[in-house]
Amino acid sequence: MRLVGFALGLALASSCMHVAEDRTRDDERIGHVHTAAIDVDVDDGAACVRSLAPVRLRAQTPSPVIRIRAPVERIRLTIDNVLPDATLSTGTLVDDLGRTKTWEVPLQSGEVAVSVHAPDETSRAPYRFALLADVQEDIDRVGDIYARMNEDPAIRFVLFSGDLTRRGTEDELIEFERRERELRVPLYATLGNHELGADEVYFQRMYGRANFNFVFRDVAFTLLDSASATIDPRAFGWLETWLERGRGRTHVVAMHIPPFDPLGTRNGAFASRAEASKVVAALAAGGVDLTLYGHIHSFYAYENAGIPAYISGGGGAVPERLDGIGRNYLTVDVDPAARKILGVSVVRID
Amino acid sequence: MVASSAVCVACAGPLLAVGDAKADDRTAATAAAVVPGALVHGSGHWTLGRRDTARMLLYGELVGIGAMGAGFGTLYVTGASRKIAAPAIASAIFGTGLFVVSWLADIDGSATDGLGQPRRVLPPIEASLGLRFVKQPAFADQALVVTGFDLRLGRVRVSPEGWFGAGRVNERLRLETAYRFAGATTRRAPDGSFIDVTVAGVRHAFPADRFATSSVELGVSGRYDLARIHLPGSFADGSIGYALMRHDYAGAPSDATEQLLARWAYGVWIGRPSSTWGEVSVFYEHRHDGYAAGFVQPGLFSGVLGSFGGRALAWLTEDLGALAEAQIGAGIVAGASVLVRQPVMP
Repeated sequence: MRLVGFALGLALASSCMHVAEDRTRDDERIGHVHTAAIDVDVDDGAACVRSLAPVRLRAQTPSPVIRIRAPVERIRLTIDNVLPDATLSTGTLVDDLGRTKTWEVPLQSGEVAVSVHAPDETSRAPYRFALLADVQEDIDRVGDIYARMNEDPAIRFVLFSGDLTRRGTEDELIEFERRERELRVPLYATLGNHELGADEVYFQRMYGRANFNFVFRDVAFTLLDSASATIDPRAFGWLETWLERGRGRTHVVAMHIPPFDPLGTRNGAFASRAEASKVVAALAAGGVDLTLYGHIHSFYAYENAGIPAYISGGGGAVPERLDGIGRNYLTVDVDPAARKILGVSVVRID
Repeated sequence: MVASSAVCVACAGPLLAVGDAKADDRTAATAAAVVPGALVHGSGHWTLGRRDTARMLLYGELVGIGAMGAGFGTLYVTGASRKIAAPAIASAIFGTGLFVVSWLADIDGSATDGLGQPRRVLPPIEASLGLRFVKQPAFADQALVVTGFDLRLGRVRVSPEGWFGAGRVNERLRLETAYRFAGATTRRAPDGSFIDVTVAGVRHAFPADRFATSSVELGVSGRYDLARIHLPGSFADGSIGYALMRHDYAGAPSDATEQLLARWAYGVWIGRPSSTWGEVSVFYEHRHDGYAAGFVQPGLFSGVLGSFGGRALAWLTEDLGALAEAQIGAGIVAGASVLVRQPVMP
């Protein structure tokens, strides 16, 4: 009897090992909504559909391509989280709130494909982006950080490597997004373990994919879902594709939980050292130039497989004490033409 | 230590006679060990009238809660500071182990008076050959041949072990040496308790994934025969250690990391070493570099915890035995081995 119980326990445990599988399956559905009245498809799931009447999306990359089919002549399209100077390939801008813009888009024979563009998207001049993570319960104070970022006109966008909220509830994410409107530039986020504490993963419904990749000004960016201290095998397959696609370009990879904790005895890292090695080996083989992590509420600069690695978990969650760091974010300067990371700087808030 | 062991073994004799509790009393005591025993450890033994044992179990629980509180509290207050995280985590693991073991011991000791006795003398050589099935989402499922032996030379033990996947897609080699400061060796010990200092080296190769890890480990491990607190036939294990790891990648610079090693277990012996004999245990293993690695779950907390498992070994004859084990963390490891040994006089 005990053996049967043990065997049943093992079978149950086996089904629980694929802890990130549901999220990668949801990733594949994001950006695709089909109803009797309208079809919306976003290439590569680069934006999530938040409503259909009116059509409203949240962009998760600078240049999503959106295909709409509906039996109407025009449609009003609102996209949140776009670059302040973004334009749409087709349509008339009717409302501009900086990071949120609305266009009136004509449809030809009931369909249209539009793409968001930045005026500098083909430039190969150096530019800057920021990295922030681990705001968690400190949403009320995150405005300080956004204000500091807004003072730096060179920052083109912000990568957010997880733990936007304390538990990932819908209310917390609504509040996070309300505060996010104080930010001048878009924020492209993957989720952290603190987005997994609610009855469902609201992050994906409200923000979009947990694993995604985009190219901006000839620099590839890959954000991965390591919120469960592992990478789902399906997402690892995507990573291999994105690494191949990113060859020849500067490639930046960000995720929440780092493969290795610089303090190994603490292991704020992947659950499996072997899997951590596998992922890092793949990043090295794929020619990744920079890895960015969160989860550990401090600042660390180190290397994994020779790739510069930075942890910046200074968004306001309970800080690591005795480190003299406090709240912080990173700025990263990249030079696409030279295929170089020009510099990574830590910006202290307090 | 030897003297105290002798005293406790002497105590265990009459206790076995005390084990004539009626079945109804045992049922009530076992139920009490579960509720309210989950909160107040020792409730089962208190119900049986074994107040000293009940008190020891309660003290074990309280010390465990204290160590857990100190560990988790320190981690929370310091934000898992790099300056103090390792001892805080060790304290939390030790406390959790003490808490769980004192509860399991109350349940087990309430239900039975012990089903077996420890081995007090060990053979000079024991060898094993078996198969393990490993399921890890990050890697292909595989079956591995596992083989190794324990060679004992006085207080020194040398234990090489190898895990070999088909087609050499995966290979883990481990060499452990231990010095036994106290406890059974090829010479008789008073009870099942022991304490070892261990040094080990590990090489784990994943050729298909183009990386390998190596580590050097130093640790202390021990077993406490719970007959010393009037719980004959059961034991608690604990170990603590430190590992330096190196991660080698094809065509890229290596990484150096470190690892906290810790383990606790609760187990029982079944039978007498002079005839068919075995031991069954459940355990927590903190290491993150094995096949099971650390525990993952769908919610908030993954990565820090290690793995959980169970292990059963039986010597069916004086020189032939079997071992079965299963472990779950980020992966599942399950399998069995055949054991052979040089017979010893128990």
